[in-house]
Amino acid sequence: MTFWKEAGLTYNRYAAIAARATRRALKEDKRILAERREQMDIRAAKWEDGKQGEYKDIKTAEASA
Amino acid sequence: MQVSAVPVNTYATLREIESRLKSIKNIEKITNTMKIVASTKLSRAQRAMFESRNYGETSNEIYTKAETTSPEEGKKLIIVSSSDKGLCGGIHSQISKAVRSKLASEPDADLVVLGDKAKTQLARLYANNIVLSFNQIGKEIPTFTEAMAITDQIFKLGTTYDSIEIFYNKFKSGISFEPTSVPAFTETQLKESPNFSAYEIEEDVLADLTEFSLANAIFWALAEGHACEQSARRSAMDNASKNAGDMIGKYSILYNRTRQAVITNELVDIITGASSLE
Repeated sequence: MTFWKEAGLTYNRYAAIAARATRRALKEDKRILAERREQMDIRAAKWEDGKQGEYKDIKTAEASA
Repeated sequence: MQVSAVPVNTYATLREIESRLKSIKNIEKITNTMKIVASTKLSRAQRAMFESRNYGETSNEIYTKAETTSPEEGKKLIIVSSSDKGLCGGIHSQISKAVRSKLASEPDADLVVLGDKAKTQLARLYANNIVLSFNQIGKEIPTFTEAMAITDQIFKLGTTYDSIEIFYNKFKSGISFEPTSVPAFTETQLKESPNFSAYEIEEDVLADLTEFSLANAIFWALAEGHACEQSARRSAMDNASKNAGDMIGKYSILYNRTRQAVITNELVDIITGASSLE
């Protein structure tokens, strides 16, 4: 059950991937409604010593990870 | 806005007043539209908020039953839930005020800010406390995916915190909100809670539960904050439309009076000119 933990994923990441797979498996009309719950445009920026770093799109960062 | 005394009633001042009147009418239309948009968004946001409350309260049940408490000492993390957009009354400044008073008593706490508006306000005094900031928040109703992604980024920072507190605006009614904070409990806090022995939990599941509970709490804070923001924006735009309507009334009266004065002046000129010819 913890294969994902050994691969280095957090529980939230694992649950998000599982949810995405479930949404993609739905039938056409239900899938469209569900994909709306998946929308995410958030960008994150790390701060060091009171200075803000670059804003990075979370979705693309996670997709590449 | 004061209606200033016009010294000379000419066509120039008439044109000034006319253009002012036109722009105020445009503003009134815009603020009216924004109010209607905010009202429709509010009804959806409220529904999402009530659903998220169920989520958050269920997630918190284990902590209430186990009677977990937050320690006063130790490394603290403060998460601030706000948004990117303005024109919503006092939402952002009130939550920033609450966080600032908290930081005054705990100046070493780490800060994670969700939303640009709170970020600019907090960065003025507490830029050194901020570790992570997020933007593009508040455009749509928050999704759980977003809450999970935010939690993930927080955990990726790698710092172990002794206590976590989430600041958000609590939705009290359609016209009032209140900045509140809820604690999110860490693994060690759950293990040390008085009734923990009532539960049968395997060791490795604890860390996952902590992460998931934090995502739940952040989702709840985001949903309530979003609903508060829409309702505040609606009342702010409502007031703006009313003020614009008042100004339109005042300026219309001034315009008509000025117009009549200009015409009267013209008539006086013509009649004096005509009478001087006789």
